[in-house]
Amino acid sequence: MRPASTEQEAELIDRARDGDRDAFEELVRRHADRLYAVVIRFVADDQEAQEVTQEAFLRAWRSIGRFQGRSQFFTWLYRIGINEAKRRMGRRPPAEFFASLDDDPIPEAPDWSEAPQVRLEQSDLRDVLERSIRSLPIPYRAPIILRDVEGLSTREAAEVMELTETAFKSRLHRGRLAVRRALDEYFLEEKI
Amino acid sequence: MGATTWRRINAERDHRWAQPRLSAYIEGDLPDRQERRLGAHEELCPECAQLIRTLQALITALPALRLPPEASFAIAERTAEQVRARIEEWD
Repeated sequence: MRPASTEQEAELIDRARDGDRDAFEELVRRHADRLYAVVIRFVADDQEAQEVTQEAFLRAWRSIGRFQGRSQFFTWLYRIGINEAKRRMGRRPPAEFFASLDDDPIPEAPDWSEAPQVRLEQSDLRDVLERSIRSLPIPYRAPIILRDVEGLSTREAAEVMELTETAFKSRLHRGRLAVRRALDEYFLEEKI
Repeated sequence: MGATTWRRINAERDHRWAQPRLSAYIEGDLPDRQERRLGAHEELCPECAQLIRTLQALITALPALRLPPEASFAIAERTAEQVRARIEEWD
């Protein structure tokens, strides 16, 4: 996570609790990009991600009086954002929730661990990764986004998802295997 | 049962045992004894060795999907304005 003055953030939160809109606006500025970056992988497009991000902050403003500091502000905020995104996804067909997870390695796939494309300088591999993450069933998508893309610690990410660390790690591992398999398919076609 | 058969059975058992532990192994999160066991299996099992290498490569590559700084700034400013406007509407 981006380092920020913890003491300064605590002061902003206290002021926001007292109704200080400027303080809350500063909290929005500090966290909006990361929240958006998580949310956009759950919703249809940029427009919806903007709406969900906004709505998450508005919910946070309305309930900041109940934020007691037992978790970090950003984990509380991420939880609100992901729950809002899930609510929106709940209006879509259930396939997105219950799609099966294909995480077995492909035996004939090449060893692509040293392939230069894996540095993601090529946009087609980035697209493959984004698509494969987006195709993960919801319970396996969030761990990869929070932990591996956005860099939250296991403890922080598990807290966002309201899971034990053990349960979180299990989902993370299966999600990683499924994305890894998508790269097996990609490199099999590329014939590296 | 001969020694070769026992070795094969043990290798298959280690292979099944290793699968759910690969991420923890890569991240150095296994207890010492399990790490040694998985490390020994990695030396003997080309399939697991490749799986470990490619998983490691994937974990290393994923942070590159983060938003670039210029996009981050634009999103932060836009969201702050939008949220401010909505809060003021309520008031």
